[in-house]
Amino acid sequence: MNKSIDQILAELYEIDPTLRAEEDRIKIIIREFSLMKPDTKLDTAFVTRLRAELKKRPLPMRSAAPNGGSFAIWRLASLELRRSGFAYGALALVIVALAGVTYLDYGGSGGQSGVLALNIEEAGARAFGDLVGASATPKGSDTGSGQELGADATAPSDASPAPMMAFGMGGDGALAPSTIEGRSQSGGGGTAGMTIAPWPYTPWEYRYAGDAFETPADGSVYKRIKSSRSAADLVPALRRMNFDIALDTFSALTVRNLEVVENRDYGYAINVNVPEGMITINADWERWHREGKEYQPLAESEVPASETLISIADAFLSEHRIDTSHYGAPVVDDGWRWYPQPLLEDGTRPARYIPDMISVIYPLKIGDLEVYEEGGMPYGIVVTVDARERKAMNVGNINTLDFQKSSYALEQNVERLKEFALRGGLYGGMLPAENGNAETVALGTPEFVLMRFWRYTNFRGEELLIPALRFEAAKAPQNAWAPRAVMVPLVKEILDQAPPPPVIMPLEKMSPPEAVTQPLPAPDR
Amino acid sequence: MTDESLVRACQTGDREAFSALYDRYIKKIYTYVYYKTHHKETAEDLTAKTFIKALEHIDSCDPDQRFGAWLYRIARNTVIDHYRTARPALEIDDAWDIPDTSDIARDADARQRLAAVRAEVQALPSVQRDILMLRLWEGLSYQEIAQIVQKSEGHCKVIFSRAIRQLRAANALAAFLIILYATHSI
Repeated sequence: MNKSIDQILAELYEIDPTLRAEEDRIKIIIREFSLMKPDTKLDTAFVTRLRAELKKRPLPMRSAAPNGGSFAIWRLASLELRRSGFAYGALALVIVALAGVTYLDYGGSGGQSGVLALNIEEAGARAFGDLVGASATPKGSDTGSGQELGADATAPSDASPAPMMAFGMGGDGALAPSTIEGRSQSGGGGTAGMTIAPWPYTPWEYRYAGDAFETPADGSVYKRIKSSRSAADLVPALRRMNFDIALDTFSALTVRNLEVVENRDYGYAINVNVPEGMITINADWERWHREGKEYQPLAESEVPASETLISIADAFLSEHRIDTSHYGAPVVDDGWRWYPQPLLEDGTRPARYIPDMISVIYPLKIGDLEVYEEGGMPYGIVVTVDARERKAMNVGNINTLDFQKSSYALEQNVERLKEFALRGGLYGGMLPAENGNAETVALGTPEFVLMRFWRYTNFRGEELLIPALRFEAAKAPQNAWAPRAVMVPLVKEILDQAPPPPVIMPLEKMSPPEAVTQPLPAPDR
Repeated sequence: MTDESLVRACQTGDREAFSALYDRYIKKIYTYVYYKTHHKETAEDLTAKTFIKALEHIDSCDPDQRFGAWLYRIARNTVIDHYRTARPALEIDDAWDIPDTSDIARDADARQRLAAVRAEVQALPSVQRDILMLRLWEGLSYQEIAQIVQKSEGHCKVIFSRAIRQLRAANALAAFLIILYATHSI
């Protein structure tokens, strides 16, 4: 503020040098007037509504000359194909050939007829067999664990609590703390001198502080169906294109993956993963010029407000007509605020890690039930916003929504469900308390939701949505990291097969492996 | 893309270009309108009218002129039209010209925040108010302000200094604050 006031004063003195004699008074007037600035909160719903209204209105033109350069998939299909670029043409072919409709709904019809429409087939009772799976993979062995760099927001998430690994390692951007869902919150300064020492761990324990509740009498398990749709239909069209390769000499061709990129600076790449039924949009980093920019770590006060982040995400989805009719109100993943700032021995508090990239999540809804990850965060379309540049950088989890549903017996014993909640969920795994030093996490009355659950059979994962209770933590402990919510599946057979909680050894107790204590032999030359 | 190229794209029928301009300016215009209305619903209504007018007349916007200034001017005129239509017998430019005791809707927060400066700011001509708000609240440069209020940059600086002089003369509170904060720099 001082700098701007000094500049304002300098400009004033240019016009009226006599004001310099009253500088103190003038400064106060400027400062007081500046502080009176009304708090203007822009309603994101209004922004979305007005944008929609403007899109309905005709745009007057100076001339009818065609315009290039702006991006919309539907335009690619109709216009850019004529430019004979393979990428554009191929995307158009995907659009046309995959299902006769575009992946991204552009007709304003709510997407009910598109491939992103929600389709649920009824199946018989226990139609999916044993939900835990014949060879269930232990949690933490798959991609998307909390230690991942958050680069792939669409990766299956891992819910095993792993508090030690996520603490305080965000200084050089190489190991950014991520939420336990492995969501994209990477980056974080990236300048030297920002190294943050690991925080001492503090264990936590749960206490139920909610009201009495009842369990739902019945509920359905949903299994996501991934089909290749009509990807094979694309091949004949590809064969007609001239690649200087005789595609017809290959047999049983189908299309598995396709990526197209906007051919411009600050463009986006759109990846269509046909077998997974998944579209991902990513900033095309090669064309996002950041040379010469020196990025200092963001201050907490510089992080855009949630409403701003949501507004940016809304604008991007709206601009590209990405259908969100099966998704609930967006929420900002503010997990970084939950990392503690304990008082250190020297009386200071460690710098809080501030992510450069913050996720806005549009939770998937099946009927009235929102879908959550096993770690308690909403699951759905994720828009990653660059907090510094205030731009949407990635959109993940734009998935086909084809499910089968089947009824399974639900646990009715409330006390048993509470026990699971107090041990931290299905897999448990809290750090052991010593000398009564545990922080308490108060859990509120649970909410009936669906939980994304992975069944692993023969090293293949199947995506299920199962009825669950979500116990939200009332607030974060001051001096310890702790989950924000505990998820407890309601399906009785899953609870019956739950493994005992693992014992987690705190880092301070670990001894270095023998081999490390021995000097290593010099490498051969 | 620059505003200039987006405006040119709009004029050739590129609707996405207008969306980009909308995203770039919605917050700024809403904020500016709110400063002049002190009421959320009214600000939203007038912001919507501003963008609809801009869309309808985008073909008349000179791409070589600053789009932002053009849009602010539309917003400014829309606010003036709003109050003058409601009270045609009075020379009202915005909510500042209307006594706090009147029946127009004002948000409680804005009413409270502005109470301390209402009398002084109300006494200023509306163009002085605009320049004060744009310079001190929005942090716009004199060059940008000049294009919005359609005066020269130098003239804007003169108007600003007059406004400060007028506030200084009226602001009895400042004298008290000088004593209070005599040893503090701001």
